[in-house]
Amino acid sequence: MTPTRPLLEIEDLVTLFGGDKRLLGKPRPVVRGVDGVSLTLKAGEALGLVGESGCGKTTLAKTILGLIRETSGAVRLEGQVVSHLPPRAARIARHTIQYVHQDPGAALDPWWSIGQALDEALRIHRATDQGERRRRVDDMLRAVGLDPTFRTRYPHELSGGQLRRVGLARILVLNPRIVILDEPTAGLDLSVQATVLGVLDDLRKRLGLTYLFVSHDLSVVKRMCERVAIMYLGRIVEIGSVEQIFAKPQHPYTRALLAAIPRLEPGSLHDTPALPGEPSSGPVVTTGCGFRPRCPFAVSTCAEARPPLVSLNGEHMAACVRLHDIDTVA
Amino acid sequence: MTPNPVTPLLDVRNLSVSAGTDEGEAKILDRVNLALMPGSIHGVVGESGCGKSTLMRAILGILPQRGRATEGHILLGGRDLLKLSAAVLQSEVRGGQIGFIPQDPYQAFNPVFRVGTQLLETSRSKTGSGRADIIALLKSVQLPDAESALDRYPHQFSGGQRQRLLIAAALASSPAIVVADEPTTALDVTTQLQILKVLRGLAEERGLSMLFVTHDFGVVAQLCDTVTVMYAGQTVESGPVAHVLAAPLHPYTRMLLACHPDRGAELAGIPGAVPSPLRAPSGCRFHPRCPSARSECRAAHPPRTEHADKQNVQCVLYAADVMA
Repeated sequence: MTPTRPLLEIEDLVTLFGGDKRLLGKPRPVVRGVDGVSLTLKAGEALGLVGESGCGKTTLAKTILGLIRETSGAVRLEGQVVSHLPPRAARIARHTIQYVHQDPGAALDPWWSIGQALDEALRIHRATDQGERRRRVDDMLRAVGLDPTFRTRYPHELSGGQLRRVGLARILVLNPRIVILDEPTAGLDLSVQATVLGVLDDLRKRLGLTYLFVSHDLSVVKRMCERVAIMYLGRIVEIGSVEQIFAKPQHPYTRALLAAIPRLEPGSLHDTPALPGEPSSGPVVTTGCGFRPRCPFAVSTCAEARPPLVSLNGEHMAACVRLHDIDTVA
Repeated sequence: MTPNPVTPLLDVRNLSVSAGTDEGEAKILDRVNLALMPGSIHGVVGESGCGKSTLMRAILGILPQRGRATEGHILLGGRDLLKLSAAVLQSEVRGGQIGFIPQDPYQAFNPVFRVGTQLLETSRSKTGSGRADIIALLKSVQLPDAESALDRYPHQFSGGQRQRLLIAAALASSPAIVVADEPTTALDVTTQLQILKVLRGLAEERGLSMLFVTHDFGVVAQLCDTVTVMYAGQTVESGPVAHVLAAPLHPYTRMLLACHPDRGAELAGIPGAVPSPLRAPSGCRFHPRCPSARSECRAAHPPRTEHADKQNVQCVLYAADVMA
């Protein structure tokens, strides 16, 4: 593999739900989960995928993983096309991509010790030698900052932060190259969140991992990632380096999202305009820009065609027809 | 300092709550103090396990069966809520004098009944306010299509809209105070912003007094006038939000603020974990994690000392400069 070749390339990925026929009546309406997403992941980088509930970020993550089958588009892993395979073959071809669930407490069997849960992952992935399995389990517990004695403990004995580490250890025993982290800090207190993020950052550097960091929390992404992609209704509306996005957000949605993060400034509520409506409200937009119904800058051309991602400055791209005159209006 | 001429609407004084468990007696709240001034929003902020939910339940009179208040007072308009019977609490206080906004708008409604049936059920039994009053309230919280909202079912509303419905329901009885339990935690940031604006607007236009429980200091900064910081069942610091943010006094407040992404580029955490109330440290419960801890911190939780402009702190570091 040449160093310039991205580890993972996604081209115009589309995942649709519904559309199937019912016994009687009309077919189910089609829901566009992922609606034409192109992305690349470079080896060793952390890419943040940010968006609000229902924007399709988890669907995109699961499509990349092969748990949900893509409707169209291509996925290339280390140069190999791994899309349009039957479900089982897709997972086998993508075994170097692993997924950490949002709530590892719910993902662990309460009747199984931590050691058994970690061992199961290795057995499923055909590590046969028991001593070898045990060694890898111990190594990974240490890597996530837990003592190997945790092997004999049960999920209910662990705190939220420790459960996150176990969830992480469980996929790290499989030697993944790409780790998809789904809201890894959701539900954690700030003081615990900081330590979990520290472990994640440390592991990425030590094990040379590549992260796709799915989150609705922009401040977490800002600290953990080099690049960030903003999703809205199944599409990427803006992508760029963390510095570019946070210093100069271009798409109206990115601007509103950044402005909505509560800051430690008393009285800042008055100066921040709120977006009207919510993503899921109103009729599904099929033509034009999906953000149009809530956009303060929308004009008639927004309804005509879907704006493509256009490059602004190097890797900073945004999909909006008014990129060049928003600043003069705003 | 001159005494404040305005008396607090809600005044929690030295409130302790204990719960009997299989492993012994757990002191969940340890002499908590809190004052909500009329027409203001008071934030209660702290991490999981700091006792903010127990405090809220004690105020509403809905402590779990094994829990009981062992000392202190909860004064609402001069009446001690701890001395009232369950029947009076039910008929006059909850949903009457105190309105409540729950955390999760998705779980607060029964999915099989119309929204109107559920909202009117409570308000009719308490105050006799009818459909028209509720619709007027729904308009004041900026719910779209307020006229037809009561005839719809919960699933026809988004999370943000449901939270608006619940805010309107909490206001239906014209309560003296509203208690809000992290009402924006389940919402996305852009929706959270809308709801915070609605609440701030109600405080300013209607003089609403609200106790706002949250774990997010950013939300406190935006919404609240005053704040109480809690740790492991104790109040550590309180005062006007602007002062606490600009010059936090207690080491815990400082460390908690340092964890906020707005402060400090480093990934700061607080070493250790919040102790279980069954094994709460003696004295100031923060001392095992505190970088400034001294031997006397173990002996007793220091009394409240007042600093410039009503900023109170309970910490030995400030015990010496007590203002008389």
